[in-house]
Amino acid sequence: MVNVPQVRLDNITKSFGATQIVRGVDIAIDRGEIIALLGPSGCGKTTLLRCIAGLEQPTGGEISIGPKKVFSSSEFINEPPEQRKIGLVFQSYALWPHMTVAQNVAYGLHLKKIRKSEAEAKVQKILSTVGLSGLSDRFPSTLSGGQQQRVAVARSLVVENDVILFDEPLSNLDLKLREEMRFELRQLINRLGLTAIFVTHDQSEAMVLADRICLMHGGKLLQTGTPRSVYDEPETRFAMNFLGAANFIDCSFVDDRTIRIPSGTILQIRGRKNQAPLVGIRPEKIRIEPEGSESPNALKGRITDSVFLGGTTLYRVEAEGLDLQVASPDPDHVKGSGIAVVLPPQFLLSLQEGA
Amino acid sequence: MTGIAVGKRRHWLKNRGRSYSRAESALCAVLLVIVGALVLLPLGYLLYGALRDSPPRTPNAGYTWANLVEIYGSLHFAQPFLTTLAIGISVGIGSAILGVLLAWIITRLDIPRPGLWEKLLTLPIYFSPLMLALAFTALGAPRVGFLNLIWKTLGGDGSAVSVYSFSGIVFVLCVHYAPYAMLVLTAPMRSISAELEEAARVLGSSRWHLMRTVTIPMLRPAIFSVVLIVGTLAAENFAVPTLLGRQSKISTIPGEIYFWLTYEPSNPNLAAAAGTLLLLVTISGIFVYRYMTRMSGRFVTITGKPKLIPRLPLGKWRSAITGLLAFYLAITTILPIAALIFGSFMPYIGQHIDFNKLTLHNYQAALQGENYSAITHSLFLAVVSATLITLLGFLVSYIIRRTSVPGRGLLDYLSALPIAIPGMVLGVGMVWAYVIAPFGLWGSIWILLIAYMARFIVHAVRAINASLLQVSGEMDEAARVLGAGIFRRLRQITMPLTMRALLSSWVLVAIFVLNELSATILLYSSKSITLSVLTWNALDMYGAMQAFAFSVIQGCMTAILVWVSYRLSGKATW
Repeated sequence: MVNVPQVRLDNITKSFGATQIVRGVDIAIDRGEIIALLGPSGCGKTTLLRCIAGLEQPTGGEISIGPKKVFSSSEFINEPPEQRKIGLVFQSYALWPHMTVAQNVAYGLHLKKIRKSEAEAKVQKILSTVGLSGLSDRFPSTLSGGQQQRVAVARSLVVENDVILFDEPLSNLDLKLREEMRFELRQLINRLGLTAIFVTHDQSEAMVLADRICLMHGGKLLQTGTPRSVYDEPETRFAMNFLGAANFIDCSFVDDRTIRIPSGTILQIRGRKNQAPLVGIRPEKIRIEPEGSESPNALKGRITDSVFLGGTTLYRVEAEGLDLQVASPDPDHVKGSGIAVVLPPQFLLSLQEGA
Repeated sequence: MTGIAVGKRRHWLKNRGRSYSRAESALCAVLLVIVGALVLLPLGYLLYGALRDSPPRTPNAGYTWANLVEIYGSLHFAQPFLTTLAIGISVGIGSAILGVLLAWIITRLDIPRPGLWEKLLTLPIYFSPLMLALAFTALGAPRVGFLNLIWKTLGGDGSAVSVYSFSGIVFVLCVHYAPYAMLVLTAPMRSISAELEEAARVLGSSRWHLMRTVTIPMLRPAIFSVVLIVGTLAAENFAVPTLLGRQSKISTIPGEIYFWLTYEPSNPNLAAAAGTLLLLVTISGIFVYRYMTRMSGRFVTITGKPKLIPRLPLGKWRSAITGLLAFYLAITTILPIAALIFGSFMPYIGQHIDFNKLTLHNYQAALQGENYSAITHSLFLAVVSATLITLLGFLVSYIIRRTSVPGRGLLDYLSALPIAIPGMVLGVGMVWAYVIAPFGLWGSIWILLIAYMARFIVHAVRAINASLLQVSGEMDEAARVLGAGIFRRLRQITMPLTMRALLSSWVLVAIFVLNELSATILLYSSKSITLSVLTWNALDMYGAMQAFAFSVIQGCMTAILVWVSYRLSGKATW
């Protein structure tokens, strides 16, 4: 059997007047895969999600859901959202305040003309799945934020569509609850075997939830890959910075594996990827060694500040004119002391400037 | 096959913003036809009538410029035109001054129970202009008004006051529109003060200096727009200047239109030509108003959180200011209404107040025969128009606010246009448009229904627009994604969520319909006579006391609706 993607976007563009919001995005999403559209606000991720749902019409491109083409600018196809058979969980949850929890959840089932008794059973089942049994007669306004969020999820899940979309589903919850819900949502989606697309601006949320991250910026798809590959091998300054803390070093290339930093010291890197005279390294990849270390890629430095964060300690290090952040499990280095920092060549990444 | 493909392509190409469905564009098309016909037909026929040389249904009639030349090109019509302008300008300025003072007192001064005062001072807005004019006649007609009777009893000479004068007309209209000005001005008055005034106070401004240098300049755009909108409404008013100006031969454009259409020898062509002039006056007023409100977007600072502003402590002045408000309430509301009610129990206008002669005769007459059917017509029209107009307004507002169908801009514009069309002008236009209508439409009660729909749809659309802005569009989209079509969503999601706005629009329109006179008086027949027309005609046919009784009945019906609307607005929602 040929592996047909569950959702396929081909060169999707979207403009509002003269402003281009989405500029040619291609993504193929496999059955059962969880994708995060990650990016800062204004990057076009929500617009892209609304295009998939059918709430916005793209300016150009093609969208298929399952075997069916739901949008095509060349064939003039544009299925309205009510016929696309997808689930969508809104950022605001969009629960109908004049209906009880059970009525909210059952709405989609009634539209599918499912018998009353059967619909009731399905509602009870999904409510217990999301941990809301016993609340079915309450009105949404009497529920907590987390409970409302679960109702919104249940309403989208109960109709048993294969694809479910989430627009910043956790951004209205407080931090503690948000962290719990991430794991819960992931387990639920995996258990039901759904294909899911999340829109989020929170990189840690994307990392927990997604099998694959699609990093967006300025309407374009910047990089896609597993959370680990996007984190460990960012291709641009923006990608590296957005996915976590980073040190950037301006340099000049001696050859494809060697750079010279402004102080004149020569460092080995993992391999040159483009013309930009820029390399980056994550704080936790930098090692602190005693002063005078002979390790390769060691720089002479001095600790200028330290912040104890529990599991790690964050040091600020001045090393040969560079101002570096270093995250270390060892909290015992003293401010002002002379040390050496080692920048392992395999973690020194050649980056593209900008996005 | 190709036909379908072309249709598909055209639909697709037009579909450029938020996705919309074929059902949505079909609904928009239907609404465009309905609202377009309601609004544009009378306007087109107004111009047609102005260009004809003889009344409708005259054989061998032709076109002529004579009517327009008579209205625009000769001095015959200068007097009513200038009077109309003078009334508009005086009432606009007068109401704005009263509105600023009242709004300032109830929002900024430490008076007892400001909320209750605000409600009480708003009352005159709900009385129809005709009812107010009658009430002030009862109070201040020369010689026989109650104030003048008391004046004579006290030994005074002649009449103390007379409402049958230009200043009487301006005064009564100001009483009617000042609450409107006050309501419009309270919102910016509340919102500008908090931060801006505090900022100025920190810099050491005294309170009076503050009022002069910060508050008033900040309010200037709002005040200008009040002057314009109230001035326009006053200029097109028919009942007040025509009723109060008759004795002193004060004539206005609406009054002239009425006389040319209803008194023999009638001249519907000249009436239509005069209608175009009145339309020009109101359209220029509304045009400048819209321009100003767009400009004032820069000034008015409506922030999301209304901050509680400390009210100015009044000390020993507190009772004086409260007394002033009570005095204002007495002369604008309590006394005239009391005079109207008292007069409605009197058998005839007398030179003395005689409590032994009070009678229920006027009310008995009001509930008999043709008079009784006028009451039922008014009730029927109020209920049916309010329902239809609210429903139509709901659909129009949904298309405007919730979809991206091409043509919704035009729908928005068409549904807002009636605010600039005076009732008299709509009436003349409809006379010309519908006098030839088939199925006995002309002269039936349905012609009034059509007139009310054209006149008041704008109020329903506005009320529901405001409420749709507060409900997130995602509520609708959530149902859409689950597979609900437009009519199911309208019924099951948007309608319940805007129920309060729908109900208050219903009540508002019902009040407007009950009080409508200027279009009705041109379009009614003996089969469709309404309470407001009956009140107007009673003045000549049965005398003022009978008119008072009709007016009191109409006032009671309005009062019930106002009470319902207060109850609705006080009720909490989810």
